[in-house]
Amino acid sequence: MRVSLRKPHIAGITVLKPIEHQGNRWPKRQARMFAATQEIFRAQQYLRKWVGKAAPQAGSNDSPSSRGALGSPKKEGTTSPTSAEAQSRWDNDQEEESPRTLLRRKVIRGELRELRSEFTDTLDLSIHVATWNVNGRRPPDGLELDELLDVENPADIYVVGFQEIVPLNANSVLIGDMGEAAARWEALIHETLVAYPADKESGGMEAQKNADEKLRGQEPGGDLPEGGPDSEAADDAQRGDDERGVENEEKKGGGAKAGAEISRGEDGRGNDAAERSSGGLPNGGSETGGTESAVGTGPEADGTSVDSTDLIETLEADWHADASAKEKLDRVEGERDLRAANGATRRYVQVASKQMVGVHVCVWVRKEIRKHVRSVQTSAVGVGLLGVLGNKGSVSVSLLLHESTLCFVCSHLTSGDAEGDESRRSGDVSEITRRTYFTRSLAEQQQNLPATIGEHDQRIWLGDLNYRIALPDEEVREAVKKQDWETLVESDQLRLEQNAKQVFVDWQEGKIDFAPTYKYCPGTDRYVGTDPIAEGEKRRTPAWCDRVLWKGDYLTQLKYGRAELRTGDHRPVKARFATKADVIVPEKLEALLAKLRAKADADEMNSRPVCSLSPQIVHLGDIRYGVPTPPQPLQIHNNGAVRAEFAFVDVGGSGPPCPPWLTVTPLKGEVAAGEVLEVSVSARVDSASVDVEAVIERENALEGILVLRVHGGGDHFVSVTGNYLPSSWGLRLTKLAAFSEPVRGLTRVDLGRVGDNDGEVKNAVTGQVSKEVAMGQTVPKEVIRLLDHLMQPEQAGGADSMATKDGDAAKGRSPENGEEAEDPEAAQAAVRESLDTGADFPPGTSGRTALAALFSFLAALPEPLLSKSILTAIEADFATAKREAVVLVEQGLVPSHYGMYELLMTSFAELLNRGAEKGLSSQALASELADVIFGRSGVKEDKRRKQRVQFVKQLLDDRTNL
Amino acid sequence: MATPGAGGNLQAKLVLLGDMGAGKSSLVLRFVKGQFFDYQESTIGAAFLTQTVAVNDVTVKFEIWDTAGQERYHSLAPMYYRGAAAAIVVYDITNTESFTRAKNWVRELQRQGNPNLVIALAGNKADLASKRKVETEEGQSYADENGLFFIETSAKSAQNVNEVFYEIARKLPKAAPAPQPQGLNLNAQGRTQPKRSCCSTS
Ligand SMILES: Nc1nc2c(ncn2[C@@H]2O[C@H](COP(=O)(O)OP(=O)(O)OP(=O)(O)O)[C@@H](O)[C@H]2O)c(=O)[nH]1
Ligand SMILES: [Mg+2]
Repeated sequence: MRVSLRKPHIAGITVLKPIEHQGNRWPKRQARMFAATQEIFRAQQYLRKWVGKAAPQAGSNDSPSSRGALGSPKKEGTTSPTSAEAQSRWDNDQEEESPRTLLRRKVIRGELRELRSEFTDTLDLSIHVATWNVNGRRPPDGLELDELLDVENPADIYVVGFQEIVPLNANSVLIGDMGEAAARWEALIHETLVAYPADKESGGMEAQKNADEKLRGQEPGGDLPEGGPDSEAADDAQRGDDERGVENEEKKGGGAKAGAEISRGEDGRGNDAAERSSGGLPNGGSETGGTESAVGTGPEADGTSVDSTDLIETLEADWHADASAKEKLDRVEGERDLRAANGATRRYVQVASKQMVGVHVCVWVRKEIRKHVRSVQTSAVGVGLLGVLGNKGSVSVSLLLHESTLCFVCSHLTSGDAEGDESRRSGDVSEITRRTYFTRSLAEQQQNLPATIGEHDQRIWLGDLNYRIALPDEEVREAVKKQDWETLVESDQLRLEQNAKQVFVDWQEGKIDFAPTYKYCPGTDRYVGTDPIAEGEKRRTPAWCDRVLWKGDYLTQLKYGRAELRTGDHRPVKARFATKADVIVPEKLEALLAKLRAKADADEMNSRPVCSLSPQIVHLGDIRYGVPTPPQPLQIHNNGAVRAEFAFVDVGGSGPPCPPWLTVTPLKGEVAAGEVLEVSVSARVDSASVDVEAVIERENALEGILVLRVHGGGDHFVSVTGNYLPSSWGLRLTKLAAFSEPVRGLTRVDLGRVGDNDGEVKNAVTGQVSKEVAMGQTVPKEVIRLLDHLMQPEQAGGADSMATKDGDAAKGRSPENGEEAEDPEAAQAAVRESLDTGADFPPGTSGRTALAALFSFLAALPEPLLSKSILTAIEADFATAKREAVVLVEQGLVPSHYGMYELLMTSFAELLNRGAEKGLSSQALASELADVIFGRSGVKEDKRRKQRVQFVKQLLDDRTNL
Repeated sequence: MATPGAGGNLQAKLVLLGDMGAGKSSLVLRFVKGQFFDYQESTIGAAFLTQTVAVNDVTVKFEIWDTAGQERYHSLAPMYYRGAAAAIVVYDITNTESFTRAKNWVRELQRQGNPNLVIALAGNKADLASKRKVETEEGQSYADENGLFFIETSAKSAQNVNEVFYEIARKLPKAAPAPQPQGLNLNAQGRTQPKRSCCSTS
């Protein structure tokens, strides 16, 4: 066993690859979870650098959310804080999507999603929603949105939706309005939110700030100090970068080269009039239905279609034609910029903007939470003319805020107070719900980011839903006059549809405690159709067309009302919500990960097979040469919960799985959980499997260690012991001959004492080796006894019977003397036992058995009869060797074998002479003897063996002919 | 061998060696399952356990081989320390003989183990201060001379048990060879075979 130390060999331990191994046995989810904890740990470092780190931008912005502005030089003269600017700001602040970050996000939003509550806290937030059908008008001078946006009580998130932001005529529906109107409205929102003096604020945001501080504490290095001079400066620098927003957005868009061209030299807004998506690809075909309908990839009204190249050319032409509008715009923005420069704090940034014809939505967030907003995507769905055009439909924004997903759907549904129109509106809602689709990158999909409205945690639906009041006109007007909202609400089509589960099932709407928002004579508080009816005025029954609904566990409506802005024929509606976002708490996350790791380890341990063995030592008892011991049982108990595969393996890792003298069956197999498998162990010692002298040296102790390897469950050692009963077989002649007692009594001491040197023989006879002396000294008594038995006259028949089977002497027919054991092996063993113990041969022992035993004895000799060199010489030239046979053999005999050889040959010659008439052939004897002399190697080669046998026969014939 | 997994995770084969009764199994059991038994059965074989620890920004998954300390199984030990990334050689501070055996193990490891092997010497049963036969200084100075990490532990009281493993985990990434592309293979041991042959011939 020591030998294995020296072998340049690596232990077979890699056979056990727990990861792979457990993969087969672990429930898949656990394995995934385990992998997740491994991966996430690597990402943990990033947790601390969650934000505020300079981004290696190259190649790291391939997700749709970051398809915005990046890396172009600052551009002069464009000063508009447009949606694109906001987008660019957001992008620049965006944590880089390094593989590690991405991995972390995948794990958190993927594998760990179900455990979210364990590592998140909730952060309170407020959302302000406003929706306004502006009747195709641009903001009039002096319009203030303070009331609409409740700026005195700032919210964290503003969602502002418009309908009819452009007049709904064929031109705007099919081509768009260049985004100009939206830009003006957004500019006004920006002004309202951003420029609102901080000292006018009520305390509403303080709690928020505190919460923010708390959060910052939890994310070391997570945020810049708020409000310090440095941050302002950084902000300004940042702002500079932001200006190029639109242009870059264009550039990034695949295949939008033409669009980029247009935007250069201009402020870039509006060239994607119909499609002002902060998240989407300008002109890229990848947007959803709304895009297509808006830019006219769908069939046009006249049956022709406009391809996108044409469209861009058209846009370009239009743009130049509208230079004066642009100038005006520049002036507005210049002013705004001035205000910003004068110290008005920029506290909000726009994170999304999306327009489809007249429907427009934009989302603004407080600067402090901007960095926690990610994966912003938009979607537009046209349900207007032909069911696809954008005169009616929706624009939606999806975003991830911390770990919560929000969805804002702004829609303008089918109008009309004809019978069945309400069903059409409800149909629009389901159509929008069905078709709204937020395109997600693979990475985002892996983060389980929602693609449809329904998949979001929190959803808010706003817009001109156009539902009317299902009461006669006079009754409505009467109730309005009395401010009897309850009566009206009871007949509100939306409520009726909802009650009938036709629309917005499970969505909520706040209590309507305000007057119908439609339809006013613009600039007045007078509903259209109210007496006195003005010239050409249609009677339109007042209705709550403009609504805000929500669905989400974290949403609570705080306020629901309208703002008295008289610009168009609708009054805007506003809603304030309290909500929450799940925020990762790094400490909790780390604790959870530790827990998961521990659990994964425990699970792995539990999924490993556990086995025990009994007995731990297998005693085989007395072991006789050449006789297999009765098999002993070794039980493998599978005490674990899984099936165990086992195999006996070599100590060194590469040899046979058990010592050659042991037989273990089976050598490998499986044990089912809770079951016991019995392996049998037995020993058979012969000179080929064991160095018997060495065993006697160890005081006859036979010992081996079996290594039982349970796949994935460790190794077990089993000691196998036996007591060897010394035999004359397998000992060197010198040892054997020098021991006059029966060999069974041979001890380690005897073995050490008796001569093992051929020289002794020679020295004893003063250098001259006489045959007599050699014989006397080296012919073991066992050989003499066997030959003696053979030579007895009554055994001639035995020799004869042996001879009938050439080359297979030991396995003759059953003996004529019925007393001999049936089994030739057993008979032989009995003879051996008699020899080893000094007892008489069993009665009836045949000559055949004695002869077989003799050859078996000779074959077991550790040393060859003839020296190697002579054997080689003989085999090299059989023809010559045959002529010189006698001389060669005399030269080649190992001195200690000399005497025995002589005796054997003499005896065989005698036997042959005696048995000739009975058919004992020299051929048969020669065949046996050849194997003894030449060894068993090469016996399979017919020719070689034949030559060997002939050679030996020659030797025998020489004798018999004497 | 410590094999770097994807992105810096290590899978490390760790072997415990030491005299019978020194407390190898007890240390492992304490570390992996947080348990201790006054009557811990002598190990006949090599128990295989795994445990993952996180240090710095890597996780190390230990594949622990808790070997048999009985002398008759000594010849089987190479099978377990060969290819190991780390070894904890354990002795019993109340047993001088076990300290001698520990030193023999260290010598054998230095001769025949992986050249980058991280070896920790653990003087266990530190709770049995009254029966102490091996002074802390002895262990410490032997460790210093041989460049080992030394710590006295108690599987019974759990003292320093995690520390041994965490310290090894910390030392591993440094000791581990620079990850090669094929290093990602969990089964990289086989490939390093020719290299190690030079140091395992003796
Ligand atoms: N007081 C005390 N006893 C211990 C401590 N560690 C182990 N033991 C005891 O020592 C005995 C042997 O502990 P094992 O863990 O089986 O030792 P081992 O090194 O695994 O022994 P082998 O498997 O035979 O090589 C057991 O009875 C343990 O309870 C220890 O820190 N303090
Ligand atoms: Mg043990």
